[in-house]
Amino acid sequence: MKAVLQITLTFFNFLPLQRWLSAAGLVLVAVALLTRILAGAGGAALGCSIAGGILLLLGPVFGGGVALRQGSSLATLMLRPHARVRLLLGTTLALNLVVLLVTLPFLLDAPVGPRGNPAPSAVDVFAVAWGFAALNWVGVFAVSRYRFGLLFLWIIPIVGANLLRFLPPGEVPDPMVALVAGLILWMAFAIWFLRQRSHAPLAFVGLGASSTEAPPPVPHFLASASPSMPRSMSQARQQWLTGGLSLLPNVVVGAAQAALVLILLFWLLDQPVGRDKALLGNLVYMGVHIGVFLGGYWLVGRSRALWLRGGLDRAGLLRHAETNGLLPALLTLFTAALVIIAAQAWLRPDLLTTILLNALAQVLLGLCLAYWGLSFTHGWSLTMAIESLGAFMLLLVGNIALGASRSPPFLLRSMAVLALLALLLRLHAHRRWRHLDWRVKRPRLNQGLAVRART
Amino acid sequence: MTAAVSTSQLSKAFGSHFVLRDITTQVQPGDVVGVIGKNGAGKTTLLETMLGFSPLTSGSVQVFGQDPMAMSAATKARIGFVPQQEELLPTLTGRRQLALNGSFYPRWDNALLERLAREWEVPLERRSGELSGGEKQKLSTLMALGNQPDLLVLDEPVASLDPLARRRFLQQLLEIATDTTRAVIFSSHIVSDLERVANRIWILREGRLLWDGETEKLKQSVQRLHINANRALPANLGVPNTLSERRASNGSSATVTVRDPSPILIDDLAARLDAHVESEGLGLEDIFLEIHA
Repeated sequence: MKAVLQITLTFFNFLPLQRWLSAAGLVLVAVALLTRILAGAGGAALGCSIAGGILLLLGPVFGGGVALRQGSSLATLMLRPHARVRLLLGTTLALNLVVLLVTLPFLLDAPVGPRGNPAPSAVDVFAVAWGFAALNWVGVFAVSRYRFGLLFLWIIPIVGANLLRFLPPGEVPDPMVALVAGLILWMAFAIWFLRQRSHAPLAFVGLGASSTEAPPPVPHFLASASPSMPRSMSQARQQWLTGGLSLLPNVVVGAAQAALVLILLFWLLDQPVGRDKALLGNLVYMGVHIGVFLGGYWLVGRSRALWLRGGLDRAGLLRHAETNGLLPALLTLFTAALVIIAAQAWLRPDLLTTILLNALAQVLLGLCLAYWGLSFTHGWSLTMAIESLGAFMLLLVGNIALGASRSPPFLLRSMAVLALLALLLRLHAHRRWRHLDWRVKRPRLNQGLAVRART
Repeated sequence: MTAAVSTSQLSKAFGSHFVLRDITTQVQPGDVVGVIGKNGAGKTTLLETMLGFSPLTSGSVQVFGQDPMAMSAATKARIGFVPQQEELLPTLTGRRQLALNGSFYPRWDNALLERLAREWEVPLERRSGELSGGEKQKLSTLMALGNQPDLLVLDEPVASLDPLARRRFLQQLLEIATDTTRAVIFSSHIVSDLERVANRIWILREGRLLWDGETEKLKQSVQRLHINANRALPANLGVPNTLSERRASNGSSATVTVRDPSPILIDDLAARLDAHVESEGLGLEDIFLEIHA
């Protein structure tokens, strides 16, 4: 039982950053419960429970399947007693905790639904969330065996959450159908998991943190084994830093992600909902922004490989990382933006100015997050944890505010603020890189689950 | 002649935890330095701090007379480094990888690498992501040798190699070492390899340089004394520079490992304890174990 509980706990703290997020989330949830008991239902309890829930859910929702695959190594499954059963029970318990956290705000105080509709009952939310959580966990587990799976990890949770957010009550999937479908899926997965001798290893490790890891994952067919040889020292550095000279993977990945999410959303939301369907495209930016942030973060570690090659000092390496690492990452964002602009303009040609301004503001937000990722040069400390929370809040608030706005003046003001912020974050990154210590960079994912399965 | 590496009072801390303390040493061309220490002793931190991957907390380091944090491109081109974890690009073939690495250096010996790749059986036509751990390690080592470095730093270069590959690799290292214009620093847990190749040894314990000197001198300086007395031995044997002491259950026998025993120590001990004292020379592995006992 102890091993099962430890495995469950691991899903909430398997990344160093996640420990801080979970701790903050736990405090907020405790505050929400206390406020509810002492002061009754109210906005404070509801706000704290939602914010705390999001912080606690980030890791297991986006990385639960990744952690499970990481923990299901052949050695663990073959050598640890009852490892399969323990891993499965621990994961099932974590999945239930996730669903409970999603349901918590509805238990404390029923929030108002879209367009002022009455909120669904906590039981219904629990049932629907169970179905989505099971689908998400299995989906993330499945894609994490592919090198380019990292790029699509965010799609199921973001699409799922937004379906729930935007669908009017009558169109939310029938709770009982969702629950039963989720249970059947989970049971089928459990049987398969228990019967497999081994599972394919995780195709990507470190989530961009290790100093020695491979370049960002791109589909295999896009990565040439015999690329054209670099014609200059700068190109050689670029190839060493990013794994290639071609920008085609960035274009393909950006367009593919945007198209996939848009198709999913437009197909699933075929009825007009409480807001413009055209603006749903803004949801795509959030996922790409996470990728851009991780891209910046990953470049810090990868730049180590160039320290003794190419003769650049730390300031030169940062400039090189900006030119040859950040720009390709921003190209992915830019390509995604073009796809979104095309889709939105096709649906609402009358909003073209707003759509263009919105896209520009989103690209600037991406630039801010890229520089913020690039300034993560230190080991995990309270300062870095606070900065991580700041980046997360910028991502969340920025996306929500920009996604909801149709006002060109607001978007112009946002662009000015974001441009200034990007400049400040660039200076911040420059200051940090002067004392960059590649010894403090460590792979982010560990064998936490495997270790806990031993006990 | 400028030292390849020179450190003075080098200390390194992560937060409040000191990983290296007051390390003062020099590496001259022609030196082949073997670094040993337990896990966490600070070997990798020492090597990487020397090369500028990690800023110092206090003290100073110079590589070919320059601060490693501000080394010129020309100085960097004189260094070959094999990190503990390989930094290969998994989508490139071994040959492309070598060619790409070569484009960073003004001098690059392709012929040497082709010969070594054949001898070490490195499949250069395969993507490095498809290579085994040992093959990746060999490829990483090839990359560090291509620029004919004046300073070669290898962090556990033989950890994943089979005994045959290890022997070939060490042979090659010996060839390099015979070139008196080059310096080699390498860490390994396989002490017998260090003993075979290194002409100098650094023993690190808890971040301090416990021994810095010639391998042969180290072996001469540490001896094990077997004491068999005619009566029970006193609680304190009074042997100076004792590294470790083990007593037999009969109370009249003991084994003491000492550092720098003076020539008269054995006679003095035999007379004082009314005992028969025999000394025994130790191999590097035994010395390492005794130091950490």
